Amino acid sequence: MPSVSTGAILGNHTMLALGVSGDGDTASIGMGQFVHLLRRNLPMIYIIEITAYMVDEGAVLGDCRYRLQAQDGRHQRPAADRHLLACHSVGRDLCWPLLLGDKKQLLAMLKAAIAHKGTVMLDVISPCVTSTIMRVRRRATIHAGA
Amino acid sequence: MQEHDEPINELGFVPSFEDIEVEYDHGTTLDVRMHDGSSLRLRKIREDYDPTNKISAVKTLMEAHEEGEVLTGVFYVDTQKPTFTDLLNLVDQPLSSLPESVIRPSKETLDKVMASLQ
Repeated sequence: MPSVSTGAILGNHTMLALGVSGDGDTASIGMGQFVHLLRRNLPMIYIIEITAYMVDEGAVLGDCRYRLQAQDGRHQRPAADRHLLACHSVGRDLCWPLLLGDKKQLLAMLKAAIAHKGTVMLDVISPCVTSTIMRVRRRATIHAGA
Repeated sequence: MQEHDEPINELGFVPSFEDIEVEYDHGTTLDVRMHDGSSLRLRKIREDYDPTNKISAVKTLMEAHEEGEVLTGVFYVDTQKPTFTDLLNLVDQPLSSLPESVIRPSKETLDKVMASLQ
């Protein structure tokens, strides 16, 4: 996405550039492009939808930051915030983590993001229903000894 | 099928779940229950937090990491750094709308450039 955004903004820098990506395309396979996007301070809003679900059975997330407290009470420490740290190491941008369900906060941040010049990284934690279903089913299968 | 070949996506019926909606004050934490029963501890950044201090931002982030919390709110901002388009000194009019006669140097201009490089 950063490459396409750069070309689009160069073609017409008067438009509002807004892109949505996942944590994998941002902090795993896409980390190289993401870092250079921040370094250049490309005027765009970069929304990262981070899937939040329990990863105690092995992380499949690109940035397994949001490890959740398991149902059995075990508390797991989050892994490093790779993309947030990247903001600090290579760029001086606007970084906002928030939960999708906090609509009041999300709306305020989107408004401010549009007003900001330069790269805005909105880190939106998004509870993923379909991933939840898969994990619940898989856990049930494991517990049933199948 | 190989033992490690586990499907991570499935096409099929997806039951309905209620939206998770939260609202909490600055400087407070909130445990949010996810659809699978797990929870996520959020901490909304204090209102007096200075998001322009880079060192403080990293420290705050790492402290939250140690506590197992997820910070929410304006985390870091710098309004002084020039943007990519500022540095390129672009004309006001979008490049995509400029005619070819404007964006393409004439043959005489290109000849002059080539001559200067000889």
